Amino acid sequence: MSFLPTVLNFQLIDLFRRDCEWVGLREVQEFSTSRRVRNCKLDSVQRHLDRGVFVEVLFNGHLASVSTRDLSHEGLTAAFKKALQTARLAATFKVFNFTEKVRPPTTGRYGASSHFGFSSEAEKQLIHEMILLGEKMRVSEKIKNTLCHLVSIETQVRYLSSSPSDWQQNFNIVMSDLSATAENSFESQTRSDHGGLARCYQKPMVSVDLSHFYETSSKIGEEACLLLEAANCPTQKCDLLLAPDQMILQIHESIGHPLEMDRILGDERNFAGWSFVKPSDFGKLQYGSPLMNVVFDPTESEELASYSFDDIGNSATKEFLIKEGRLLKGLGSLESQARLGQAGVANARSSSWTRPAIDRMANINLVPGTESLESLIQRTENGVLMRSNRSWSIDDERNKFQFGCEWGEIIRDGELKGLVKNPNYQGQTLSFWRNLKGLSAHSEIYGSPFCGKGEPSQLIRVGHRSPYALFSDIEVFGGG
Amino acid sequence: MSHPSGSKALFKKLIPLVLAKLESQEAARLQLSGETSDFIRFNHGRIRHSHSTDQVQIKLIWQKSRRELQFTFTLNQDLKQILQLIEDFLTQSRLLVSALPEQQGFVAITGNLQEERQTPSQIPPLEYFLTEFPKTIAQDDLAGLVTRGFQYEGLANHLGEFLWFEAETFFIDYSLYEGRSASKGGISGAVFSESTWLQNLQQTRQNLEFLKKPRKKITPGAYRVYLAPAALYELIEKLKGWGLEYPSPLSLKKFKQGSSPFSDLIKGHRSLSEKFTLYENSSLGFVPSFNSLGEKVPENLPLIHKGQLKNMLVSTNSAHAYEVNSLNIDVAENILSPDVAPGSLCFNDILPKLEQGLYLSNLHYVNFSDLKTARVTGMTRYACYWVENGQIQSPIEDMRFDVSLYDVWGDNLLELTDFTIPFLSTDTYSHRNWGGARVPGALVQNFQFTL
Repeated sequence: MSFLPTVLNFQLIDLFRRDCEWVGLREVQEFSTSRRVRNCKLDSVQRHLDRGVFVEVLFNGHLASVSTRDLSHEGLTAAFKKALQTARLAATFKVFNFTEKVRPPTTGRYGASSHFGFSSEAEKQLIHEMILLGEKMRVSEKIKNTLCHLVSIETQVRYLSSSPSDWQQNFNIVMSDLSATAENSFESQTRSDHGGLARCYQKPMVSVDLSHFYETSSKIGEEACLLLEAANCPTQKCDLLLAPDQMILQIHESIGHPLEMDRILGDERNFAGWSFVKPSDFGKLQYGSPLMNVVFDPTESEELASYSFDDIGNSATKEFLIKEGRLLKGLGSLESQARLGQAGVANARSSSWTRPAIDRMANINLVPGTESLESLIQRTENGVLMRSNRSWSIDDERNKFQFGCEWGEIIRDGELKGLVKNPNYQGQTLSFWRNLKGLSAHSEIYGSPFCGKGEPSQLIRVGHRSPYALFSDIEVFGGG
Repeated sequence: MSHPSGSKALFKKLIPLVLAKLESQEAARLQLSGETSDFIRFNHGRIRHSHSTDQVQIKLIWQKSRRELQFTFTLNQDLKQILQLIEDFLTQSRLLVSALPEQQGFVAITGNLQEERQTPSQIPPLEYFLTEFPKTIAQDDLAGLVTRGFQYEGLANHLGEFLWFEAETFFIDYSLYEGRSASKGGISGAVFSESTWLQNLQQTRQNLEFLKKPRKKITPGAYRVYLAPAALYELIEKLKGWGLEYPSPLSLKKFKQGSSPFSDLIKGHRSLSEKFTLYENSSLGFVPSFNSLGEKVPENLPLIHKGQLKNMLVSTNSAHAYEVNSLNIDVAENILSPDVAPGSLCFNDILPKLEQGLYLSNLHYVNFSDLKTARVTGMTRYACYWVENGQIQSPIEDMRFDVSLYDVWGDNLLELTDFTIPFLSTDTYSHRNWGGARVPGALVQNFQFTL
């Protein structure tokens, strides 16, 4: 199977353009397969083919849109007419007078179009390997539950507009999850492969070799059992060394979201929330210590949210958001840039053809430092190392947070001194980042398909690269 | 935009064409899920964006040799193309199925129920919300979402079952702002009344007036609090679960997988307050009367009765996997419409009985922080006040809390109000969600604030 021929053409664009200031059509086709093996038994195999067109119209300075599954000429025309009528009526009460400048002319391609689908032989082999991974996680009688989840996604986005724009992007994505839950008479503990579905990358399914996960699977099972025997993380103020698989959550919640310019503009106030960042902070605010450099980087080849254009056709380039601790730029699309009068990035993104593009994170990366992990541990007198996110909460202005991890290790006098369970920490965004005192040279890439935001709401895919990061004077505590 | 009747007709046309493709020893069920929704997003009392969607997906569940494969596709007018996709899926599935291992909790397709139901509604057209409604908020710094339109579910199988449910509903979910202070409001249902809307708006404006006072900074520690129904609902939502991946903490599946934060309640090692009773009440929130297996869902299922576990959420899949009786809960084992029984605290006694502490209108971003003890952490949000001598004194700066639900719904639960507030789900991730809730307010002692 391959993607179905596009239904978009410039005859439609020319026809629709006669009645409005600007029109754009975004066709999305997505084919995905999800395989889930639980406790070494097949749980489900689900295939999904989604297809539709997002029709967007600019009339009298207002953007209105209609999503349609009816891909016939009549269906697209009806969707256009409804979008036009909506824009015409809504324009009287529009929040801002947009111009065609927020929909730039773009031409190009990203990624390779693929012939998707599955060979039955390949699927049989995958499921066999997934069962094997479950068996490897089952290292003890204490293992109560194992999960192996593998998702492959192929997406094609085709875009034509009266700007004029004519582009196509193809994404091949693989996401995997391994976890084991161990239980004794008192409690249960879960260990996973760097957190729920954190391993998600842009790469073709044919490149996946599950035999690479044999060792990881055994380790996950063993570590879940070890956690049952561990002491609770102590309550204290101390140094905190966060592994990359927890740092991605820290970056996401306390850098990514507060820098979204639609939050700063108040669009999200009623749902996801506002931001403590004010427009006047750009170029001035000391967000963190001078070690802190953060980039919006859509160019990392395997990272989940790499692309050439955002969903309104703005060309995407790598940009510094924070340099040497100072806030430079926000995550704002051309619409937010026009409203706020600030520079931004190409981050107007939508979850599918059913939703409009809004300001989102893409790949938000913390630039690595120069130290080794060993050096960061050696210079810690009293601290805790935490790995793999399992709990998260932050306020609606993205300030006061509390996060929890699967795995903790005490650091005393420059050495790892033993395992602790239920490690949590809390802090406030600016003071936390200003206490950053070390970054490893080594970094790792993870991502999430579950970044939630928007009214109506959308889950979007984001990527994060991070090194190990050492912070001072952080409140840590355990469970119970 | 198409009316549900168009999708129903297309679905009815498609069903025999798909079933005709089945070979002997094969079974199939088709599940349709659709909506035609209008969304108008407001910021600063003006229209930020207006968007409409017409989306319908059909999931084909195909079974052979006690194995099951699923294929979900978008329904459009091109049935020829859809049938070709289904043909391809069936061809590949037949090759794959013989090599598939045993499937956990396999449930053979059964049932031949017949039911078609639609709820009456009275909601103005989109034009009203684009032209008249904005005039009512012209002076307000309002942010929020107006949603209107149809949601519908259909189900059919090779045994002749046909089920259909459609509902036209609306919700207005919004907040008003004065500087950084905000007050939350909202109405929802199947019948829109402008006077009800204006009343709600006026009440929210009044609440905002008081928030203009300087905010009091609260020091971390234990406080007596009143959780208004919307705040208690944020905690109750932690019992609901989310999608297939995250079943309710009261789900049998989740308990058996060792990841329920209420394991000790389920095992009988701990209990909650006698004042706490919880039902799964499908009559609350425009929920289809059937689940994704085509089974009749229970209308009013007691889950916790006077602090003791009464029933867990058991789907037929779990029933097969763990050899217990099914309660016809959907396969995800989530709670769709939690219904908390009221208590005896009357409205006028709330502040006098709170005496000194915090009045919390809303909470935000609540998440489990420790599974063993069912601890949750989250934030206060919107209109939250410091109360002294039974009088509201001032709004507060937002605070982080970290509390055990065993305590909040257990020994620390002093009283529940004698009134409840209904909520219609405002979740719109990927699609508008079904469901609602009915929750009273709660007076709670020793509520721990940490930051």
